[in-house]
Amino acid sequence: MRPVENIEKLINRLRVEPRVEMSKRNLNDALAAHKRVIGSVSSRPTIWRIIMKSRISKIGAAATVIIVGILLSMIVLDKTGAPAFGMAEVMAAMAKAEWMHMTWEYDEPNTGFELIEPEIRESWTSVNPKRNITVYNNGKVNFTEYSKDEIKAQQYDVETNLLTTRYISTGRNYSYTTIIEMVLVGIAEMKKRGATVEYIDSVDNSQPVKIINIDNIDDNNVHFKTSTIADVRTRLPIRSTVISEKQGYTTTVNIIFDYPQTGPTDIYQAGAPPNAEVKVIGQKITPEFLEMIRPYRAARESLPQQRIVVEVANDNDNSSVVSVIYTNGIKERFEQLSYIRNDTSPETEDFKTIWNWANRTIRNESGNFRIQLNDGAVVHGAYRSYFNPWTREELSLSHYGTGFLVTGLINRGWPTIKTGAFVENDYAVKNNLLCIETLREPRFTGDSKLAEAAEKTLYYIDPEHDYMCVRIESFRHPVPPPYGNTAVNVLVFDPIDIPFEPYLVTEVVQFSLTDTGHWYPSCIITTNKQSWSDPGSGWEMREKTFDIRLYIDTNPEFPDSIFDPESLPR
Amino acid sequence: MIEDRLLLYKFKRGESDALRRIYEKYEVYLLTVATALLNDMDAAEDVLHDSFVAFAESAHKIRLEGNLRSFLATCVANRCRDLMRKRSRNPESLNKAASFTCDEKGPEPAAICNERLERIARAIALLPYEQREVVVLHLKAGLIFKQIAGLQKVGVNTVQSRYRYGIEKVRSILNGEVTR
Repeated sequence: MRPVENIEKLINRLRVEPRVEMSKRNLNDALAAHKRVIGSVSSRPTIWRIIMKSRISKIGAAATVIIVGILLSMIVLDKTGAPAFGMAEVMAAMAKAEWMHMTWEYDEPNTGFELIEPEIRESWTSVNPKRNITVYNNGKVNFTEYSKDEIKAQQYDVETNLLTTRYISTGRNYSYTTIIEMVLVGIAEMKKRGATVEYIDSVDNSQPVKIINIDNIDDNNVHFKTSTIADVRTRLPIRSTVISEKQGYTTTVNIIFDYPQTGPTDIYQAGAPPNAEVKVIGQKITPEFLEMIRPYRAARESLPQQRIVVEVANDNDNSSVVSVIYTNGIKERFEQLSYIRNDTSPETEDFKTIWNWANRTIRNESGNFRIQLNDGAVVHGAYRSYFNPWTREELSLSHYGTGFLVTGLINRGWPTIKTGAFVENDYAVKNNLLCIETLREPRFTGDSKLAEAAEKTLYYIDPEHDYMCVRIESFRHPVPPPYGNTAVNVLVFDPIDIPFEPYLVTEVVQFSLTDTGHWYPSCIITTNKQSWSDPGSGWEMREKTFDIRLYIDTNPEFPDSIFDPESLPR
Repeated sequence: MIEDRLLLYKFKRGESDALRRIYEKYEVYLLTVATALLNDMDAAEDVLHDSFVAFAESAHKIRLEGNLRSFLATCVANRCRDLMRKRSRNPESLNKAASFTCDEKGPEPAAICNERLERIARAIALLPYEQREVVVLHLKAGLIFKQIAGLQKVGVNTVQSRYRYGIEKVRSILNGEVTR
């Protein structure tokens, strides 16, 4: 009698050897079929290329600025100091108009802007729910809808017949976001830019109208001259002419406004074909994402628990930050000094040499010195600045959150990625990396002023080096400090409006192996194009580069009482 | 798993090396599954051929929910089932016996191992197709019962019953051979 297990094992051992001729034939035919299919759409870009090469964002932004400009004209003071239209009246009129529709007509071929901005055919804005819809002459469609806890941002690309949908979770309630709110943000922006406004009483089709001329230069250095005819009775714009000038190129567009009862409530109604290929980039945690991220998280967990990490960061301003982090897997001690560099770290790969140098530097240099000791429940802190003596502080770990232990090695090589989406990307494919995209909506203060712009981050993970995150790119519009004081840029309202170039790039340029056989980043270059400094004459944005080197001991003998709170200076 | 994802990325982007690697990686596995299902080498080779050509043609459409290995096995199983249906309508189609070999080095001589496998393959070939499909896809292709249930469009309990009956029947056939 054969046991079932034996039969199962035998079946599992079945194997058929392929014939060489068959293998060749199959593979050749499959390769030919593949080539045929790929060849038929050889110019088809990846999703990444579609997004990055698309200029929808820019024209969307420009359109928004124009619209805001037109609406703004209705409430900015005229020469006499009296409101052109009363704010309350405008708000009442706009409150009734839930949909605003705009038909765009270009007076002349858009030669100058052709390369950077496709022409818009028509667009809509709705208030409740908030939607922005733009249809382009080349068939492209943009559709963004804001709900209570989610933003749905869609782009249809006619060349590839690809419809990309992004879901961005949001904690912000957009139900109060009205056209007027957008106008108010626009006011701050245009005033800041020094827009000039001129009002002229006139007659159009035997009806009294107000002509409002606005002269404005936007963030992209495009000079807009907007002339709008508004109905005096309804306070709503009827039509507008916008002349855009940049680098000697001029585009003239006429916009006809109407206020329909309704408009397209999804991207298909706006013109995207039902047979479009759909690609969804969700930001919710999906089983597929968890499966893909598992080896990354496992690699993060498998790092040696006992370690000392010395981190030396030098910037292009002659400043340095030296950190020493002691960890035993439960407790952690973090020592860090920020100071003006007056000497350089020794050129060595020997851990003891660099550790001794770091300890000497930390204790001898005058600078901002802080020590934090996390004993698993309480974080004991001691701080000293250039001018102030040591001060102590004790806070519960919950004050810092669960991520407090992830300093040094982990946050340099395996940063926390809670959610996101795996995306196709030229850089990732070329370098055999996995790429995760995370999106973050803009953050606002309690009074709806902008604190941080919408941000996209790309994490590149290297399966060949213990799934280390070897490159991080962050994209956002600049927001000058002090944060939350200015409603800086209307562009941040639309999550699609994220710049094409990263402002922050962190790249591992050198790997090393620990004694335990784990890869770690031994040299990292960080370039931040949006580093703000206040030299006394106002905030100034400049580029800052950090060269960060990591030195690791995975078999440390911890100094006596290193984790004892009593050892902290007073 | 991650390697498969990378291969799939590259394959979808048109890199022929990725397709070549996928083929080489899964050729033996898929050919074995097809041969065990059809008990016919020539037909199994054709199924493998057609499956890979169709896979290559789907480069832009393919959306993988699970893993690549299971996906390919499912493609092969679907084609085998279509072929079996055609055969039932055209009974003149003849089977060409399959030739199995040991897939790992065991203590027993290769000839004995091969003979055992030949016998077990013959026993599998005698199973009703639904039972054969469950046994082969579960044991050789590595599909879980839930996946097979989706493939056969029946409940998981039915699949488990088919598996149990199938294994019992193979055992009876083999025991019958021994006693004969």
